[in-house]
Amino acid sequence: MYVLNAWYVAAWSTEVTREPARRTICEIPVVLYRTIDGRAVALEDRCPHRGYPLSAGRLVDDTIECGYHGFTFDCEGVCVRVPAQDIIPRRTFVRSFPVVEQDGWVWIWTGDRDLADKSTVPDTHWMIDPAWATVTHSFHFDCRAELIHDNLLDLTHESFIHTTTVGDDYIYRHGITVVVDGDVVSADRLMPSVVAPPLYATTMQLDGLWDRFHCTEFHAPSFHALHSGITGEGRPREEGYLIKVMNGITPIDAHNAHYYYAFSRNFGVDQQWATDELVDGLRTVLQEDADALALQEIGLQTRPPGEFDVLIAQDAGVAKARKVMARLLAAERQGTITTADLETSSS
Amino acid sequence: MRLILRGAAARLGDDGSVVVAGSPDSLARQPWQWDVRVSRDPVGQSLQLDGAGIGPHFVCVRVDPERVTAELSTESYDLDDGQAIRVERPADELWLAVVETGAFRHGPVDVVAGDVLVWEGDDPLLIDITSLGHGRVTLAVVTLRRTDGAALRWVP
Repeated sequence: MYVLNAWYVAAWSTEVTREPARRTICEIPVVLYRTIDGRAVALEDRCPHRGYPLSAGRLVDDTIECGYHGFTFDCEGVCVRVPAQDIIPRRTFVRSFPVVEQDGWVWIWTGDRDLADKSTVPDTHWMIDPAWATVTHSFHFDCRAELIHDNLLDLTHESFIHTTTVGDDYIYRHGITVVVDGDVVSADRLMPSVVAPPLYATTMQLDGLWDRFHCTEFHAPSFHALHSGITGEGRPREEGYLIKVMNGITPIDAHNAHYYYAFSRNFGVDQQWATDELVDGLRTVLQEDADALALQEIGLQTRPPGEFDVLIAQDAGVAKARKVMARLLAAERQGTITTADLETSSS
Repeated sequence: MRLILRGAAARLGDDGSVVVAGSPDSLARQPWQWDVRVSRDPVGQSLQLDGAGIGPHFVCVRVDPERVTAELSTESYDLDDGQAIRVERPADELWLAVVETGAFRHGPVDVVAGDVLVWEGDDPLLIDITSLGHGRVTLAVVTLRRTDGAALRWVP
């Protein structure tokens, strides 16, 4: 069950080329390609003739030709050629998806296209701001997307999973402030007078005590902006070493997700050694999360019916986000929240 | 844990009422204990007010008296711009406040009339608010305690 009336990250801009690329998003097969004049196109990746993936075909100018029998579709998914006959059957079309390409991200709208509002694509401008330097990674996670949402909204796991990079025991000793504002849930933690974790101490070239903070801002159902950093003790956050971590979480199916990750920083912007350290360190962080959540996915798949998560105060953001997701799902079904929704979003 | 629910007091349903917090707050696998609502009509223990950006309304609390006790009160502070006040909350109590009038900074968040705040557990116990502008901050406050004297914990 997926929230479909939403923007999902389908690819990085650099991945959409004149070679068709396949993605699966919310169990929908999608082919991505770029027109001659550079526009990104997203079509359902299944030829209506026999179900062959269009991504296994080829581009002919701005159209895509099925590699099986040559049915050809334009950027709107309209069939413009059936090689074996002159008449094109009426049902010969594929679904096209609204696309927004912004700051190096390619987003597609998987729901009712009349509801696609480009102004609701999340802000990622740090990616292209010259005052910031950015490291990106892409990961396949062997887990349902919801586990990644939980992971990002409860960063106390850093104390245990990410001990060599961004973790420290002081994280779980500090409480959170959770704000629910429509479909956005944020969980903020201030950690005053602490040392920087290893990856930050190295790349920020810090020692001594600082105020550390992080605030995960979940834009349901697909994106987290993590506003974090380190500043002088008692000093405003905006004065500090700032980090904007943008997390595009795109469900593949009920047990797999794409994870598009971008880490922008306002310190050491021109220092390649810092970028190199972060590329390696953040890959470690993401791999640790991927490994942990794959194990959690197995644990949940084998959990007996009737057993549920035991949430604690630090999970307040998790709990609220689950309720927002349940509400969005229910709204798409134009019904009320069902018992099944609440079971999956239970606290 | 502190929780800020933006504009929660203003989201009255078709029945003129909205539950802003309750325990359990989702599927009733645990026994029902309490809920707090904003309503056009009084329900349970109620406090009549005229703020939160919604006009006349009641802040209402219902409890299972075997498990929980509740107190309702109105707290008002006349503050200058930037003036701060501090209130200490016992760790065993859960506090909920409906912001009736005023605007203030609380932790990392700016809070305005119609917002709902909940404080639970042992962090924070010191509640600091700093006025955003000159004027009166009015809160409808619900204080919840367990009848057995143990700390009242809650996950939304």
